[in-house]
Amino acid sequence: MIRLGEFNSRCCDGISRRAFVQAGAALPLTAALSGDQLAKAAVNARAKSVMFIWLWGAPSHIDTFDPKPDAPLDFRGPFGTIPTTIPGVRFSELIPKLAARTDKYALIRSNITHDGGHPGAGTYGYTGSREGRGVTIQPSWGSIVSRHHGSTAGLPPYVMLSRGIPRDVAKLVDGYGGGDWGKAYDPFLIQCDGVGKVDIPALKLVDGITPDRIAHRRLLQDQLDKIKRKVTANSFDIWDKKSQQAFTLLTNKKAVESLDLTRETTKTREDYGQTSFGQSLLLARRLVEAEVPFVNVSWSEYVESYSPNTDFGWDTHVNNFDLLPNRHCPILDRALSALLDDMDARGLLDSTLVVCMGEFGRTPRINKRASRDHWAQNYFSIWAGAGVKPGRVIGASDAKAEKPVTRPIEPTGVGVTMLDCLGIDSIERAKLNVLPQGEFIHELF
Amino acid sequence: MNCFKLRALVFTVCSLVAANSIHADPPERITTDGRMKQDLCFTHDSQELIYSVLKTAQLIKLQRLNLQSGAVTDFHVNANTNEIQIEFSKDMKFYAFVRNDGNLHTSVQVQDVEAGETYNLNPGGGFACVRALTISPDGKSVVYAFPDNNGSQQLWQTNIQLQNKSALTNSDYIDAYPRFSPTGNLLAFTSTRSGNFDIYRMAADGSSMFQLTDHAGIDTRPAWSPDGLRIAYTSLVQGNYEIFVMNADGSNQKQITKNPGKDDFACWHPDGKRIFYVSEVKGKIDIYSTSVEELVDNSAQ
Repeated sequence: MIRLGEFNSRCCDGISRRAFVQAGAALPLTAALSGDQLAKAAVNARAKSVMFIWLWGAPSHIDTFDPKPDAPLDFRGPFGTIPTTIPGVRFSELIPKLAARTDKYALIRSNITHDGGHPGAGTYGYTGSREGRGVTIQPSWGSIVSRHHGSTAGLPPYVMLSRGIPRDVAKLVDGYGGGDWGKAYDPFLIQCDGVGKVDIPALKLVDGITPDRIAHRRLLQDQLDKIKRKVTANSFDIWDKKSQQAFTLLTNKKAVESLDLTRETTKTREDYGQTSFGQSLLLARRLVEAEVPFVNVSWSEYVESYSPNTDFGWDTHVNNFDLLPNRHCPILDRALSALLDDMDARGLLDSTLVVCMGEFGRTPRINKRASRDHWAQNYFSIWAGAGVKPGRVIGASDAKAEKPVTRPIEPTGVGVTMLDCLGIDSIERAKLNVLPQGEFIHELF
Repeated sequence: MNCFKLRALVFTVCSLVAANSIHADPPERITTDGRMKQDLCFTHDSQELIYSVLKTAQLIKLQRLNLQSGAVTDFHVNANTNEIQIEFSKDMKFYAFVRNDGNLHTSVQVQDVEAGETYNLNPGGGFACVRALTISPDGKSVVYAFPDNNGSQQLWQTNIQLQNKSALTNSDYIDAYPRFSPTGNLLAFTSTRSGNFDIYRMAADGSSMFQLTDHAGIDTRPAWSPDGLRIAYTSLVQGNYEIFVMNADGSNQKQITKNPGKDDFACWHPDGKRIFYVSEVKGKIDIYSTSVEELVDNSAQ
């Protein structure tokens, strides 16, 4: 038996940090956990799925969800504020639909991270750990779920909806996937464009199947029949894991249907907006319905907001006061509002935790380029579903949105909370030897 | 309530609405692809509409729409990087646009159509973005918005070869979206001088500045009517972007669009009777046009 010890830093499952260490030290023994303990972990699971919406490039917190109308102009910027459904809480005028829906989610205004660069903060945001030469790359939240849960009904357990693995123009984010666990736990990448056309890069490795055929099921079946005739049990093994997942996915009717946005009503698709982000959120909802346990939607592949051959991320070192009102905020406002409405109407928020955030915030003081740079000391996150009490603001920033004045919420806390909600509690994490630190964000529930 | 009282109530409500908005035929949908569009501009020698469109997930291209034939073609066929906000001189001998030529970097490009020359203005090294420009109707100068290295953003003027740069504004605020009037003697622009984005007007040499709108929400992207008597602009009203038109002195502000989606990037048709704009309707972003003849007629009376 593992002694759980004293509780000086409780998680939602009542397991302390000390207990985690003890459990971790006794890792070989954890296979002998009692049925009661396993049952307890299962009871604490609040969600069947987590939808992790990643605003890559880092949106300005002061221009969106944490405005400071009384700060000097060189901090508060030029945007006005509007009321929300929460008395006394105001948002920027750029996100009116989300301001009108604060009864559907909770907002944290005291997130912090520990790296001021995109790849580093991205790795913190995906793993809770730092990246760098010689550093062990920890598995991402989705990879932990992938290893813990395994696949469901032919669908990969960790799906990333993005044009590509998150990156900046220089490099990929180290922490996007399995890390030192290997590529077997990497996300299964699915691309979705503005009209809802789905593309699966891994399919390109599967004997000439083109993504268009997903939408043409009869053609797809012909292709699959051909492959089945050619592929023997032995040759199947030579494909890499992702190709196998792709093949398995396509031979599963339910899985294929989950990727078909034409099954949605025209109105639903319109509500999300004809943008890649909007249609990706709709696809994410379908994947959650198909019981994929961890779906990550990334706003973009690249952080850069305006660079050749990139896809308009939130990194607004320039043109912040142009891109936010004209492009980024209208897209976010429409799509995320539609998702919250849709999830709510379908009852999916009962069993799904929705988390929306970037890797950090942006400088509260306007930079010399009349825009905003990186700001790791304070940013926001949005939480909905899975027992999160909506209509509340958790935490607060100071008068200039520079630092939290309440308990800072770190990436590890975000990760621990998501994993706990999926039933991957401190005992389960100890078994996997991941995330020994991090405080559950109990204020949300 | 009897039917007469109901009629009277409806009439009263309609009259109140009419006082600050224009009644017109339903807007005409010009494009149908639903892709993101911005920065509309008419050519002066034909009825061609040029605009920027998100052609792929990674590329904004300038596109040319012939309103008579409906044909749509790329303006710069071989462009492989983002290009936005084109404007032409009145004689069509020059045009200027913004080109995304590096990482978080844009430059001003001027094309001398007859000579086949291209002029380029690199605003600076590192992250440096010009967002908005205007070319004088006589084709002699370009005005663009660019930060002043201290958190403010000024309007700068150059000659058509993009040389002899000088500051037209000198403020602690963000000035953007300059637009020459049809005669070239005035500039309309948006500025945060009032604490938020409002529309201003000044002489083309930067003197005689005058605030045209004073509204708590964003007012931006002024567009002069061909006769120079009115200015269309985008206004963020109660969380929704709508197109408004006002007299060039700021009076008589009237709402032209009424759509739950975003209406933006107003551009006058050369006949002065229609305004083209980008509108998000049912999640699709397309170009629409609406008649403003009623506005013109009312003003003439």
